[in-house]
Amino acid sequence: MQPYPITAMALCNGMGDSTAAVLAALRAGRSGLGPCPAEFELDAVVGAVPGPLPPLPGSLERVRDTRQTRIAAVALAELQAPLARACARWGADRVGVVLGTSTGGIEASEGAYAHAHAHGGALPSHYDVERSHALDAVLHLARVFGGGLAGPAYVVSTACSSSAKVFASAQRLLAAGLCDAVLVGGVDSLCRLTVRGFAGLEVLSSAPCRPFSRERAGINIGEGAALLLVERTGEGPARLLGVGESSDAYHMTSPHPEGLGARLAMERALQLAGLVAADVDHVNAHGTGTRQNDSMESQAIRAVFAGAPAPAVVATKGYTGHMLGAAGATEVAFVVDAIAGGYLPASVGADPLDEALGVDVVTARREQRTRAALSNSFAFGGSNCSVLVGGPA
Amino acid sequence: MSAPGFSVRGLGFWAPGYPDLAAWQARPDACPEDQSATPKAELLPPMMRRRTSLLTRMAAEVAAQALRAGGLDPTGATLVYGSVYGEIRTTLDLLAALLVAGEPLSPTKFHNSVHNTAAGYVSIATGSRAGNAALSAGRSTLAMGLLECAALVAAGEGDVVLVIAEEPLPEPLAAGRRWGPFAAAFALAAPASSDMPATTCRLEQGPNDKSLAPARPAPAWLADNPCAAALALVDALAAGAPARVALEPHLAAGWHCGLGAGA
Repeated sequence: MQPYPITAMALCNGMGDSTAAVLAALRAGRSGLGPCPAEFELDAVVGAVPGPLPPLPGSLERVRDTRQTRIAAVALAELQAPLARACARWGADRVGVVLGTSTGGIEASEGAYAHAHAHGGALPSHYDVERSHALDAVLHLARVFGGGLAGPAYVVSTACSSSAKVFASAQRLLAAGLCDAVLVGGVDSLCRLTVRGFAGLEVLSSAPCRPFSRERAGINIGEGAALLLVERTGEGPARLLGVGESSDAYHMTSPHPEGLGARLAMERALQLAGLVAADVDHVNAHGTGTRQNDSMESQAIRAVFAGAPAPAVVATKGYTGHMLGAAGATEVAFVVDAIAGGYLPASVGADPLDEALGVDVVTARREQRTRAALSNSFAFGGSNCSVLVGGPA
Repeated sequence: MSAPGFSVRGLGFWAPGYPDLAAWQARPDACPEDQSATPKAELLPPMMRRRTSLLTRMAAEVAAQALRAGGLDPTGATLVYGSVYGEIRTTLDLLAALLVAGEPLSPTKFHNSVHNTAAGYVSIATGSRAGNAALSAGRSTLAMGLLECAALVAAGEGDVVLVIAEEPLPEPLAAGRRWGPFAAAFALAAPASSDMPATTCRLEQGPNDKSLAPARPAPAWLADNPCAAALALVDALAAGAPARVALEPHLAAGWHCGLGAGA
């Protein structure tokens, strides 16, 4: 596949409510994890976007004001100038939108359902399933904030790989001539359903998560948005080289124990980009902090890089928590910043390392150049995705 | 703007009272007597099937039909699933369980609530390690699903099956919106990629006006299903004659699928 430049990006998550704040925290090794906001009435460590989140303008016809759309709006507001430039350059109907979300507006539905339960089935007046809950509501927000983006627009929702897989869709839409620019990314909000759901699976850690540490004890849930603009040509800090997708075909929630699907995804990304493992310096791991994930992912990385120099492995969920449908794009954006800044961020929480995993995990920031990096995301249903990003041409 | 072409090599269909494409073609207007019927979904092993929703069973059923009709290898094809509300029935069960403070959520219900639930179960059942995807784009889900698939075919990813499936929206979230469930699947391949019979298709944009062949109106019990545009595409592909089908009939202009000689 042909590479395409990444020309702009915007982030918000537990580390901050602006791209500048998030990246400053990443460069300084400062975690964004903390106690769950009081309104959720959950006893958990989470990565919550610092509040209060500004409400949406009331005039949006097809989108309601929800926690998810407020988070999306924070990141979209930063991208208005680059999106306007892309529309002027390519034509609004040539700019597509492919966003990942796992749960859409479910946080609004939780409140609406509780209201209906207490009020004889009546939903609150501000709630509408099509505009508040549906996965595609965030697309309408992106089109409006983007200045009338009119190209193909859809949501990819494959749980925790959602906003990694959007890069595969974008690369193919560009290659097929269906778009000249694609706004990609992911948005998910904290909600009771995911925090209590992962608690039911007994994988939540009661302390900040410790990916690849011998003391790791599970995940924290995070929220946020990561949006990136990929264009046919242009100036940018990094390029999208290739995206590998695979299925474990093993279990709905447990990864293949030897990481077979994870390995296939990384190998496919390299193959599509025409690169080999020795061309890759750095892997942003899925690195959730569960015993199972970090074990299988280490095996997969060792298998892909057998015969090549061992890559530096960075795990960033100790900064953000697991942002589910927003995790993939957030971690691609972290890779872009590492490439642009010539550094590798510290994997907060990883020290003391689980040496038995046999991978070179970066526990303290390194000043080291990245030629190309793989960013891994794995999900329920055995959905795996690895995004290969390189420096500018 | 037009998209790269593809060929459709096989179809799958299921709705209550219509267990396959032939049943749908035979009497597509009659309201089924038993709206609560569920598909056999024999692709899924019984132990797995009993844990799945109507949505996942419908998706597995039509995917298997389309793979078979198109002569595709179930372990080699990429499956793309499109649905507006996805596993909404399971999600509603979880919303109800959340009202009970301190009660752990069912792990099975939780992982069955994700939009790619059917993709996960079908890949486990077939042993396919190919990538798959689950999409949503409101009433444009069919059109966007076909664009994703056309781009996959153009990228040389081999055979692709698009599965469209939508359950009824449960109360209280539905607030009076009512529609029947159905699922359809389209087995796609590169144009003229084999000797199998196939219909050549091309996606194009244009006004939804009288220049389009009038589609037979969807039966009342399916008309409001947000994926109902797929019914007209199934009908046109099953008929096999050259035609242009509106994929986004809710818009004044949108994507069309051109079939056959004119494609």
